[in-house]
Amino acid sequence: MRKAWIQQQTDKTDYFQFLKQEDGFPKKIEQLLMEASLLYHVPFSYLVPDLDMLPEESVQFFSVDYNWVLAYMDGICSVGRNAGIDYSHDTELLKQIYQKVLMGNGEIRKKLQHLEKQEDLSKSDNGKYASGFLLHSVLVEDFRGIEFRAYGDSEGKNQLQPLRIEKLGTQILLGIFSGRICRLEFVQPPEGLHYGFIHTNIERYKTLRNVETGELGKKQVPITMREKDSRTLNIESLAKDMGTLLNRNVTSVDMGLQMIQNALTGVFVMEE
Amino acid sequence: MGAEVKFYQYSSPGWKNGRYQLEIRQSTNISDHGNQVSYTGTMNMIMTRKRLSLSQEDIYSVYPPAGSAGMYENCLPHIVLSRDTIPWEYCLSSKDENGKDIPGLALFVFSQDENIKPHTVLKGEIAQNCMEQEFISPLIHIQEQDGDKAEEECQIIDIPGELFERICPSIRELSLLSHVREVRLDDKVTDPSIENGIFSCVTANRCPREPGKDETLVEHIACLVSLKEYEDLVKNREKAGKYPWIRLICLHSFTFSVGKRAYDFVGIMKELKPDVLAREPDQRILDQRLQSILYRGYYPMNHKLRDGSRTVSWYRGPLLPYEEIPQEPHYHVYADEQYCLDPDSGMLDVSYACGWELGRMFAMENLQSCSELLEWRYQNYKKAARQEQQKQLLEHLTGSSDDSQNLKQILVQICEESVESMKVYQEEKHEKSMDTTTN
Repeated sequence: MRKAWIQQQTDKTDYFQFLKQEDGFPKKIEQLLMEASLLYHVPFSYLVPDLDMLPEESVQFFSVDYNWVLAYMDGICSVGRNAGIDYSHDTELLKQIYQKVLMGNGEIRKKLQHLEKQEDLSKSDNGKYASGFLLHSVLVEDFRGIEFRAYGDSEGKNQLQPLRIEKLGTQILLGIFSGRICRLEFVQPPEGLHYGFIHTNIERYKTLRNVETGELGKKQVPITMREKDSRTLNIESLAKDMGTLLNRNVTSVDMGLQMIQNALTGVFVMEE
Repeated sequence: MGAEVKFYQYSSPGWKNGRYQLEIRQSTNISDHGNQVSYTGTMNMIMTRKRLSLSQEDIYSVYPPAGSAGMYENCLPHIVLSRDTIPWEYCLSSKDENGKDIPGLALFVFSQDENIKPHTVLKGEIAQNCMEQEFISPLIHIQEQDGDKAEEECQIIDIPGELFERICPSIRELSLLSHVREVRLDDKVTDPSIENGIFSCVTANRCPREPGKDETLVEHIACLVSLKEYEDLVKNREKAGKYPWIRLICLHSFTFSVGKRAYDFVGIMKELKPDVLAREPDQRILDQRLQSILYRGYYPMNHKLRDGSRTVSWYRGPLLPYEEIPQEPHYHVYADEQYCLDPDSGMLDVSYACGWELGRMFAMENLQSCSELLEWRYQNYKKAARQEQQKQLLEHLTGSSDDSQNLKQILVQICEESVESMKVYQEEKHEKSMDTTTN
């Protein structure tokens, strides 16, 4: 019998080596994998199997299990995988795709925050390490727009890229950052800073800020009340006094800058 | 390290409510008896907005936090609105000294003893069921340029004229109490309703009341009211004092209490307990190996096996209290392949199997994407098969066996035949074209 020119290849090692991962990998699946790598679409009970782990008014730090994320991503790509050839194919190609996804998953937050133009902070360890925190507190509910900054060192020099900061419930918030968190800062949302003043037994006053730097200075402006109502501020006279002290025509901008209370920051530093 | 915020004095809506006429003109190069042809047209339109109510999405945040109790007596409550132009969408008809619009929104703060409560009414019946001799602005009814509908609901408050006179801001104060804030979204919690970091802020001019000696809490209500309809009373406040009651549109309201304990960012931060995400093992557990499993974030879960039997297995999610060593990716066809048996406790660790199965279920939710994934694999198989065939053919062609010689001969023969038939075809074509030219 004559031998066929083209033989059936049973050994599939290196069979797919010539293919490049970019070749037509569906964009939608890549998007799903990116979301998966940040634990989107994972039910809360899968994230925190027992609510006792997350008591009220607490912040719980964690490290994202790379192996769990890989298993989750592999589950997504497992659809239609049954023959030996699928196995060889996926071994050759998916590893590179998972790598690409883990390096590129910062895009998701950038898109959500409308920061597409911004450059990424550098990602260490090929995106293998991610850590974060779960916050269960009234802060989430009562200080809408709260800000978080995570650092890879305890002095706050090496800022980590936020990958996901999202509310999971009214009082529960999940934060995931690239790299290992050593220092975490909570910043009061600046858009919600309120007007306040100092009230001693004798008088009410407000210390003025430097118009250029925003820092508190030494000048103080008295707060006076309306004659007809002891709780209603006489805003017109306040603006007038402020204008005299600052030597400028006071508008709502000056009012805002001078009257807001300082934004407060809370810091957590990890012990070694 | 502090916060960054930009303030703006004013943000005018691009379009104000009212009637507009669009004029459209198109010039062309077409000439009609020496005149260029052009077309013109007009279009009438009405720009409307809801005036009698604000949607819930327009309210971003309030201070003091709604429902909270704290020492708020030395601060001014405020309301942050999601859109920068909202206060100026309710502008008064007069302008300030620079010719700019004056915002018509004010935040009124009332303490519990003033007994002010918002009522919900239909927009079409806004002036009904009023108090005796109550002053209601004729402008309060739905007008042509309003986007409001009579059957929709809105809120109103009835306040004594004398109180209005005491607390209502003057025209100049209205401009001073509203401004725009811009903040960066870089470090902020993701909020799907926020597209840019630009907000408007309306501040009250009245402090909440401190609790008296016998009181522990004083409840307050803050109402965002529209003064657009009452411009005359804002200009002449003493006029308002003559009316027993005045009815105002309340666009939003929230309550809070003033107490004797502080409730602020720092206070809450100090109360926060930091820890790593794991359950503290029960003190009755003395076995050290068991303790170490629990410290590593595992949790015993009921597990129904395939054969119907039941057991208890260890599960932990992707959030670990310590850093796990990354492993190389493994490929699986079934979730069960990822079970690990802990010989010490005799229990299975199902964590990765759960993660894998969850991924699979999630993928199945997106069937369209699944088919794309299969198509991608299929195309790659085709490419790989072609590559393999070519590789093997090439091996045969360059070899010296009988088979290779045979193959070469056949290929040469095929090529020669193709060239021949090509020649014939070319000649025929040439002849045909000659025929058409002679015809």
